[in-house]
Amino acid sequence: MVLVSCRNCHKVFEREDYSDFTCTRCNHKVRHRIKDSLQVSLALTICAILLYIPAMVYPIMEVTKFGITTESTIFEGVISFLEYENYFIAFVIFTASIAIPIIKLAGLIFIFVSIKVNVKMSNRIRVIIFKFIEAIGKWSMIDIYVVALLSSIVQLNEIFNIKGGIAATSFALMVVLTMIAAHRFDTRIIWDEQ
Amino acid sequence: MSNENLETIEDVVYKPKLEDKKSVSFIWVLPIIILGILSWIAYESYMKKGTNITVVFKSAEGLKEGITPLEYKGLQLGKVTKITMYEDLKSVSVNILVKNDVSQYVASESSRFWIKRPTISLTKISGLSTLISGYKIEISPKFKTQKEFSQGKEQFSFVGLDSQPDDELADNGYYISIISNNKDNVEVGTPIFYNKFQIGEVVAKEFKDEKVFLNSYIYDKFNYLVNKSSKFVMNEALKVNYGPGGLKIELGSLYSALVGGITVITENKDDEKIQKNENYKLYTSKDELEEKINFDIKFLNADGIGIDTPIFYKGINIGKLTNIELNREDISSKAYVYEKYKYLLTNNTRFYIAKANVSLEGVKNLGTIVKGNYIALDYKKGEFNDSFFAEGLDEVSKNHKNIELTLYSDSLNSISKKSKIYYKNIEVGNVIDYALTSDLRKVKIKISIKEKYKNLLNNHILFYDMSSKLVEMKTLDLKINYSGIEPLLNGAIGIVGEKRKGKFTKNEFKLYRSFKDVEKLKRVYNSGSVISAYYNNDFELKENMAIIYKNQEIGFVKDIEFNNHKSKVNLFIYKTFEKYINKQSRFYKKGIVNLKASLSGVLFEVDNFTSLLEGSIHLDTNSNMIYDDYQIFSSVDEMNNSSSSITIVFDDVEGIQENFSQLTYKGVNVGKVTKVSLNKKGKVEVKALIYNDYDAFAKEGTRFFLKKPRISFQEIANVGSTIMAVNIGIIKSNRKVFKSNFIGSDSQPSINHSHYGTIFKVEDSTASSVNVDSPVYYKNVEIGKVLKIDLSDDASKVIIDCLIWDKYTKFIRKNSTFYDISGFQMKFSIFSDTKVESNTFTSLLKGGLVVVTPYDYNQKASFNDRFTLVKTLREDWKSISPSIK
Repeated sequence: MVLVSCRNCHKVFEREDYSDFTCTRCNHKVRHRIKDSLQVSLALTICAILLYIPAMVYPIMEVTKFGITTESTIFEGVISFLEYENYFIAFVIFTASIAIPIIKLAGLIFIFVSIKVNVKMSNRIRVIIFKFIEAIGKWSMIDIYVVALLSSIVQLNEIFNIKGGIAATSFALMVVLTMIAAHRFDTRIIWDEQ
Repeated sequence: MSNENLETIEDVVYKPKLEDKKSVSFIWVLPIIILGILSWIAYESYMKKGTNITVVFKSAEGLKEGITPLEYKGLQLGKVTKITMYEDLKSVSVNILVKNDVSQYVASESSRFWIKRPTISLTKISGLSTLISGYKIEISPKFKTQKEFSQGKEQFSFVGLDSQPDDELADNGYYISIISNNKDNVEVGTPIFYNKFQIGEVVAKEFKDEKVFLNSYIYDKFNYLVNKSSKFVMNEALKVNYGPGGLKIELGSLYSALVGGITVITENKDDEKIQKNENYKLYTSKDELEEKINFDIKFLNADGIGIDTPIFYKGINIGKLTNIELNREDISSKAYVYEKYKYLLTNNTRFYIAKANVSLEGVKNLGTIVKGNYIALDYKKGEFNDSFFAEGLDEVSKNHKNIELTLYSDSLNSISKKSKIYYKNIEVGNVIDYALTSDLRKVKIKISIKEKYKNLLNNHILFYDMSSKLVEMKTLDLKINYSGIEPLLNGAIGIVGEKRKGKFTKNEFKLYRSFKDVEKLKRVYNSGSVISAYYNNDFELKENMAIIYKNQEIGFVKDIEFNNHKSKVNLFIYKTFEKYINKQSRFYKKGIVNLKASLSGVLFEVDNFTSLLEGSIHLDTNSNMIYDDYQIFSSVDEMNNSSSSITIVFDDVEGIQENFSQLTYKGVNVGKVTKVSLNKKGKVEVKALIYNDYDAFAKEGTRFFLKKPRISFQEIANVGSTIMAVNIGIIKSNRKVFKSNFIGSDSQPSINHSHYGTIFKVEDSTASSVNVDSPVYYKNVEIGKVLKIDLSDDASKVIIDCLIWDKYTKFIRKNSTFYDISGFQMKFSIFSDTKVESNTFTSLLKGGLVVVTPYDYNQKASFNDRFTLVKTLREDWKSISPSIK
C-alpha cells in the first residue's frame, strides 16, 4: 500500500501502486511522474537556446528619426548606454536581457544533464538551483516590456518611429519557452533512483 | 547428465526485466521547427546582406555610414556601411553593401559611381527622408542590356566620378542641350515652361569650354512643342515697365518668379526635332530675341550712363548701350537698336544724354529717376550711319530755331543753367550758358527764347533778374513771391515788354538787377509834370521814391534840393494823375513797416512791394485846409497831428506813453497820444490825435481822464493799461463850441449825468465791500452799477456814486433805500441750522447794492438826493413790490 497525494488539491489516497488515477475531489489526473517531463523541458530549453541566438544577433529596436533608421541589437544598446554613462540602465538591461537568460538556460541544461549523467552533487542543491531559475525567469521580460511600450507610443511615421525587431520576437519567445520549460519540469525526477 | 542439466536450467527462472519503453516525445518537433525558422531567417538575412563593393571618392562629404544609400533611378540598391581613408591618403574609400539581387548589375565593370547632391528646390523635395539623409551615391551603368551584363566582368572596387556622367541621360527621351552664359543662375531642376506651363526641366548642368551646358529634358507628351525653331529664354521673375501708362509690373507666376525657369518660344511648330548634339542658346530676356543693329556712339563724358543704359526715342525704348570704353579723348560705347528702328540711325541723327530733371515745377523724365539717365536721339532723315558722337543736351536743343540772346549783368546772382526766362510768368525760354566777359567786369548770360515767342522780342524789351526777389523776401513781404517758388530756387529772368513796337535787331541786352530797376526805367517813358514840395529834414527822402495815391503809383521823386531848413523835392506826377493834385493836397511818407501792438494782437503792416525798399510818398487829399505849398510829412500821424490834434493838460500822466496810449470812448479807440511834454507851469501836456471824428470830440465840455488799471479780486478792468500804456478815457460833451485844449483829470470824474444814466449818491460811514463797478440791483435785476467810491468833502463819510441806467431811474424814489448785499450773511443759531445767505453769485464776488422802493413811494429822486446805505437787507425785501408809475 502506498499513499498518493493529488498534486493539485493535495488529497491523500491510499493506493495499491503508483498507477494513474483521477482525483475524486478535483478531477485532476494523478500521475506518478509528469509524462515526459524531462524530455519536454529539455526540448523547450533547446528551443529557447536556439531563439536566444537571433535575439542577440538581430536588432531588437528600429528607431526612425527624421527619416533615418537606426537599428540596434540588445548588446549595442547596452554599449551605447555605457557610452552615454548611464551605467545603471546599462546594468539593468545587461542583467535582465543578457545575464539572466544565459544563467537560466545554462542552469536548466545543467540540471537536466546532471540527472542523466552522474554528477556528484546533492539533490538539494539541484532543487535550489531550479527554484532560483524559476524565480528570476520573469525578470527577463523587462526588455520586451520597454520595446513594446516604446513602439506603441512613439509612432510619428517618418519623423520619429520605434519598431520592434526580429530580436524582440525571438527574445520574448525565448523567455516564454524557458518559463514553460521550468514550469513543466517535474522536480521529483531529481530524487528518482538512477 | 543432460536431464540434470535440464532441471537445473529450468530451476533458474529469469524474470523478464521490465524496462520502460522510452517513447520519444512529440515536443521534439518544436526545436526542429524553430531551427528551421531560424535557418530561414539566417538565410534571408544573408541574402539581404549582399555584396560588398568599395568605391573611392575624392571626398566623403555628406556621406554617412549606415545611412547614405546607393541608388539607381531612385531605387535603393544598397547602403554605405563604412567609410575609411584610402591608401593614397588623399581620398576616401567607401564601402557599400549592395543587395544581393542586384549585385550582378552593381558589381560589374560597367558601373560608375558619383555622388548626387540633394536637390532641395521649389520644384522638388523628393521625400522628407531624402532631405535628411542628404547626399546619395548614384550608380550609372554603362551597359544597357542584360546580355552585356552577363558578358561583362565582375568588379568590386571602383573609382567614383566627380559628377554625373554625360551620357547618363542622352538615351531615350527628348533631351536638349542649352548653352547658357554663365551669369544665369539656372539650377538642376529648373522647370522649362511653354506658355507658362511646365513641359520639362533641366536635369543636368555642366561647365564646359567656359560655358554652362544645361541638359534639359522635355516630357514626352510635350515633345512636339520643341523643335529647331524654338528659342529658350530665361524667365524674368519680375518684369517692370515704365511708360506713359505708368508703372507696369508683370509677374509671371509666383512659382516661376521664385524658381526662375526657362520659357520656350516655338515659332514654327512643324520644324524638325532638335538633334542630340545640337546646342541652343539661352537668352537672358525676351529682348535678346529681337534682331538688333549695333552701332557706336562716342561720348565726351559718360557721366550718368553705363552699360544697359537704354536708348529712348520719343519715349520708346529702342535699344541700349552694351559696352563702354574709356579712350584718351572720349568715351566710346557700343550700342544697339532693334532692327525695326534701324531707320533712325542716319547721318543726321544726333544722340544726347537725357538726365532726370527734378524741379519744383515738376519732375521731368520720371523714368530716368528710377532707371538712371538714358540716351535720347533727335532723328532726322538721312543715310544710314553706324557711328555717332553724342552731344550734350544743350547743343541739341540749340539746334532748334530758338532765338539766342546775350544778356550782360553785373552779377550772376542766382542765375544758373536751370534758370528759365519768364514773360508774364510764362516760360518763354531758358538760360543756356553764362560766362564772364573778356574784360572780367561783367557776366555774359546766353539765353534762348523759344521760337514761338519770337514776336515778343524787340529792341525795347527789358530783362530783369527775377531771382533777386529772394533777397527781398527777407523783408517779409510775402506778396512778392508771385512768380512761384521755382524761379526763387533756380533763378529766373523776367522779360518786361515795352508797349512801344520796334524792330528786333539787337541781340545783346542788359540784365537789370531787379524788377524795380525795370520799373524805374519804365517811368522815364511816362509823361507828366513836376511839382515842388517841401519837407523838414527830419526824415529821409530818396530819389525815385514812388508817389502813391490810393495804392496807385502816380509819380515819383525826381530830385531833391537840399536846404538847411526845408528841403525842396521835385515830384514828377504822371500826366493822368495830375488832376488829383490841388491846393489841399498833402503828402506824407509811409514807413516801410508799421508795427502796431495791442492786446488784440500785433498788427504788422507791410507796405506794398515797390515802396517796401525805400518807403513811398503818399498823397492825401482829405484835408480841408489849404496849404501854401505842398508839404511832405514824415508820417500819417504827423500829417494828422498838424490838423486834428488836441492838447490835454494833466497833473501826472504816469503810464501814458507816446504812440501807445489810446484815447477811448466807450471802449473804442478814437485817437492816440502823440506827444507828452511838460509845459511851463510844470504840468504835463499831452498831445493827442483824434483819428476821424475830430470835430465830435474837440468840443468844450469834453472831459478826459486817465483810465488806470484796476485789478482786484472782483475784476480786472482796463487790462490793456496794465500791460500796455495807460489810456485816456473821454466823456463826450454835447456842447457845440469848438475847443482843442482841455484839462484832464487823473481819475474818472464824478459827474451827475452820464450819457447813459443818472448818478445817485449813497452815503455810508465806512467803505463797505462794495467796489467800483459793483452792480446795483432792483428785485435782483441789475439796474446800474457803482461808478465811484470816494470820501465826502469833509471826510466824514464815504460817498458811493451809483449810476442807474436811464430806463431804471424812475424806480429810484426819494424814500428808496439802498442796501448792501456784498458778501454773504451767516446766521448762527443754536437751535436751528446755520444759514448762509447770499444774493446772486455775482454779488458774492463783486458785492453790490439792492434798491428797495416802498409801496408808498415818493417822487422821483434826483442826483442831488443823498441816500444812506443800510447794511442789512430787510427780510421781506423780496415781497415789497410796488407798481411804480
